[in-house]
Amino acid sequence: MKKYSHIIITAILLLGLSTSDVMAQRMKHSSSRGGGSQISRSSASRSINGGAKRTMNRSKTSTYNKPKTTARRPSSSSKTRPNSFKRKSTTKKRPVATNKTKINNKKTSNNTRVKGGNKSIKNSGNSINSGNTTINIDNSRNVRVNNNVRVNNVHGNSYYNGHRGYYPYSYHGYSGYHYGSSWHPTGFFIAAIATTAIIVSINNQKYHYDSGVYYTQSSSGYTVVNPPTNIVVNTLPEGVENITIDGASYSYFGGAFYIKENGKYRVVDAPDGAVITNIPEGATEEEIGGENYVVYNYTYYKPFSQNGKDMYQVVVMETVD
Amino acid sequence: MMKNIIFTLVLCGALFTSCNSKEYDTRAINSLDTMTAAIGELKACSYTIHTIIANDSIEINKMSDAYMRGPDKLYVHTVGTQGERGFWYNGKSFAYFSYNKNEYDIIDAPNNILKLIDTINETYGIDFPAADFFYPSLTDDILENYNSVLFTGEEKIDGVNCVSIEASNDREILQIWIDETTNLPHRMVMESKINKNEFYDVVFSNWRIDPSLPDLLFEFQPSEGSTQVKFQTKH
Repeated sequence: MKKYSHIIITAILLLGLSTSDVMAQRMKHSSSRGGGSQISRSSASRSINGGAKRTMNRSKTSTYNKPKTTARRPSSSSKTRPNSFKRKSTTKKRPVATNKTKINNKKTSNNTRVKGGNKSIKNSGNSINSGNTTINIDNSRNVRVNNNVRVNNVHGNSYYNGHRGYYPYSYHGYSGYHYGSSWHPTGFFIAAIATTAIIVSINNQKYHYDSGVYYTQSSSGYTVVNPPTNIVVNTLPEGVENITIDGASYSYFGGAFYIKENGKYRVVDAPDGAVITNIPEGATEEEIGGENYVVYNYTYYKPFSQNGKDMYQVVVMETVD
Repeated sequence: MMKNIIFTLVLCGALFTSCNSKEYDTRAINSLDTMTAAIGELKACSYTIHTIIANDSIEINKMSDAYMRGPDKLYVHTVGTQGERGFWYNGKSFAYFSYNKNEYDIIDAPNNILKLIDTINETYGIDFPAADFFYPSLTDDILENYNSVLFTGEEKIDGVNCVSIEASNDREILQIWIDETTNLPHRMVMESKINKNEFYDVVFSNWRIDPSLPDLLFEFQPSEGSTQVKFQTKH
């Protein structure tokens, strides 16, 4: 037994080094160094993580010795990726080490942002809301009081008792519907677009269309815009709601209404009285005449309940003189 | 016997020396500091993340959209091997919803995003995608846990100009690619040295910096017919 004592001791030491599960648990983060408990609650600190922290006793990085081996990748890194790796081919290749031997003093700016990443599409309809005030009804929902519009009585009264009539208002909380990973709300920016996207155009303006989402292209990427009225697309994605109003059939997807013409789909204005079940993420709530409406893509929706299910009905508004 | 003891001591000595030999590259550490600072400046953000987690027996592949607003709002929607799931955190409660099972649960939650990530991981084993990047002490944590942290070059990944950093210790190799323009993470690969089939790989895309994210985005409302099922704790 004594003969094997050194083997046993060595084995124990090695086991001690291999207890970490690299996949299930990620890096270790010291709680004493700024985990969640360290986040300042002051109003000035609204960062997602309370701001970067570093230990006081850490030497300035300039005092670290730059190893002679900077340009050499560690030998272990040359191993091939596991067979099961299914990342797209463009990302499979590990980076090739550069031959640089000097530290590059190129300045990096913490404030540089992705071009276009903050773009928001100008909402021409905002002018109608000038002079609005914002109140907080229940501390969780910001509801804008809009005194500049009212329900269009011409539309409403004409059909109030008919099948287009507005359903009785029954407030229920708006919860943005997520149409899947291919769907993004207006203003969303992506650097690269799916290969399934096609180009559609109207009024000499090109749009990229993919899975019910419309993008405009800039030098740095693509930004989601509201569906342009009258633009025509060949297909609509799965999850379309079909609606019939006054004998006319409409398709609804992602806050846009379509009518079918010659086998294709044309974007139209939201038909007054249309009832839908899902409004995408990114809508806002406005209080008009004491009732809350959900607003998306310049369209007002009245929340109501039908057979115990939360629904929305399109309500056409008019500007208050 | 004496020979054995000497051999063991020499081996231990070599092992100890190996464990404590540190090799840090100034530029790698500067890049990590810059990235950590850039993340720490974010008041809100959203991004898409593709995650692959694999070992000998499983491979989890998922695509997540994450939305964060400091200090206490988080929404994650995930589609992948484990189905379609949503996570909502509004600063007071944390809700989980399985679209496939039509099941949900809502539990009380701590008052900031990091505490939440810690709590749900520790208690329920739920992983927040690429959570490591959102710890404010990331650079220090890497320095503490890895024996070498090296700058390994510049490369264009998915059309994004990145700097690459590689850290390693006795157990694993960590590679991080940082977008040179934004100083935000673009990709991370963590590979086990012990089991070559184990790796954790995430790729970020669709970064939005300080977008306006409405409160409603972080609120969960159970859908009609869904069932509340208690979270299963990890332990």
